[in-house]
Amino acid sequence: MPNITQSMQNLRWMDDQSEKKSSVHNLNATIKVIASFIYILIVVSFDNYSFSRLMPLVIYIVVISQLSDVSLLHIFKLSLFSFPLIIGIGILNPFFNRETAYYIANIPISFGMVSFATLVLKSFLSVTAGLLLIATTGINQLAAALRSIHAPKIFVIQLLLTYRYITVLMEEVNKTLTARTLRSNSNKKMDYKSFGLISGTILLQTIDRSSRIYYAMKLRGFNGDFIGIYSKKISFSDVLYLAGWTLFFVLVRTVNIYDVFEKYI
Amino acid sequence: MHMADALLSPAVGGIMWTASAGIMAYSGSKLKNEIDESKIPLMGVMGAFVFAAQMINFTIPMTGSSGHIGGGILLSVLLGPYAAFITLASVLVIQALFFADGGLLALGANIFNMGFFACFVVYPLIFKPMIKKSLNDKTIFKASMISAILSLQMGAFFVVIETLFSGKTELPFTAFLLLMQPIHLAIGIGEGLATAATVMFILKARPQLISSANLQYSSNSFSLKKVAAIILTSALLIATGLSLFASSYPDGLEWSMGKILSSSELEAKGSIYEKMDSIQQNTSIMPDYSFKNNPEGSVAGTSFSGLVGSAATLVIAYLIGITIRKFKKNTAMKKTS
Repeated sequence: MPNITQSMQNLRWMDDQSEKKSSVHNLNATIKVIASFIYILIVVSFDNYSFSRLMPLVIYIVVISQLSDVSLLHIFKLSLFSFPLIIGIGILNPFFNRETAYYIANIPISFGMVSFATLVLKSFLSVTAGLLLIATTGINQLAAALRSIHAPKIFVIQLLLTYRYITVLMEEVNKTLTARTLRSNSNKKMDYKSFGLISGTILLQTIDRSSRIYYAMKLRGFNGDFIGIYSKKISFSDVLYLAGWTLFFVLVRTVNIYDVFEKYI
Repeated sequence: MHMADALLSPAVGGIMWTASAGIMAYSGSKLKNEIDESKIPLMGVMGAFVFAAQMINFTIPMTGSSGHIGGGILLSVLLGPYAAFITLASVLVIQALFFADGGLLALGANIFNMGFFACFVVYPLIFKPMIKKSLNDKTIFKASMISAILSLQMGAFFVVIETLFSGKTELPFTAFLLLMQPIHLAIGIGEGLATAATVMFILKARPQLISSANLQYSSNSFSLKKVAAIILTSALLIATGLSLFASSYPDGLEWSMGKILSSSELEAKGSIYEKMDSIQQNTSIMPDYSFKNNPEGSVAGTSFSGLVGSAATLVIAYLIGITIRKFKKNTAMKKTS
């Protein structure tokens, strides 16, 4: 996980991206969720050694980021947070599977190396697709999409509230930690005793805040439901978008373009 | 402990999604009857609290490592298991979608691994009975430590199981297990200490928050039988799902075992492998799941033509990107002029 300032910047960046106007932003959120889900399913359905067969799926990422004006470089930077686990698990692959798959300029490439590279590529593709979905959809439209697929109402409200208060509480935590650092005689590491006091105090402040929020919501007519979150109607372009991409994904999955490629070279 | 999409197969990801969605629907329907709407903002900000509080790290006494709050147990103590599960799920959704911590397909697995065990197994079966006897600092400390460690161990074990059934890593089952469980023991100790310190503070400052949470979900609304039934049913569902999927790969398993044994290169210099193999031979509960069969012949595609093809595909993707950008610029210029 990134630190507090980075996290707040990331959230802000995502919010800004989702406010943009583009043909991808205009699409129905449910359609985008389904398309992304199919994409990820197709990515992970390839076997462990399909490095090159996954390559055509990069096209989806490039097209969506260009159409939506979302910086692919920034998305890539964000996706790096997910890499430690993948690298931690995959790095041992070359040790466990040393059988040579093929040679590139007399350098033996083992099955383990291929499977490690495939794992990293799969991770990059799936994480980037997920981030692009949110950058072009935003939390409100995502909530609308969740409601339209009948996710429990309480969960959707919960998701929106948590999202809304994350920045508030992160600021609170940041303030408290700064105050502690300023009083701790440059002792950067927090000891166990202070931890209980700090997290407990913030927790109590949080609980008090929730009752104030409740009164404020009640005074504005809250009756257990969120008003004002509607999903856009599914239009012809939505159907076209989903059908087009699904066709492309299925084609990439079923046709080995390298066989075709080999025939003509 | 966040699983990544790339580590899951569609079948395992789908099964875990179904399991988590089922528990979520059950929790949602339970909450509909049990909580009043004033609890909704509390759940919302508590989710945000768990998210933000994970950034407060402390140094674990006598070690160099640090610990922070995990959330599952703390949320269960303050909100009850159903609300805690939903709150934790929302935190995981935000972590996955906005921070690339986890993934869209892995969400089901992550919600299950981190939410189910903490909220529906460890909290009602261990934490609650322990603090029910006597509610004081000592019992809270013990209960928090044991609960955090156990829920993380169970979660980590499930990560191994899910990865194993997905067959996405070459890491043998026992080696992966020996890697994951000790790491999560350390994380569990950190989380246990953090949870204990926070709950002990609340007990001093506002004891009613802890006692009321325990009275609200008293034994008649959350019986041991019910918990056992939930665990058993979900275990059965998941086991059936996974075994259905795994049964299509028996040949792959046998093939891979044969491949390991016949590989002279491994026998000659694979010291790490030999060690792991001997550990595995002694402790193996399941056969080695690495070196999956390669039915699609895609390695061949990774040879020369594959490499050239990959590069060509990237160039094509780049060209498509540039074309779209140019096209957009042109239309934008036309609009303004």
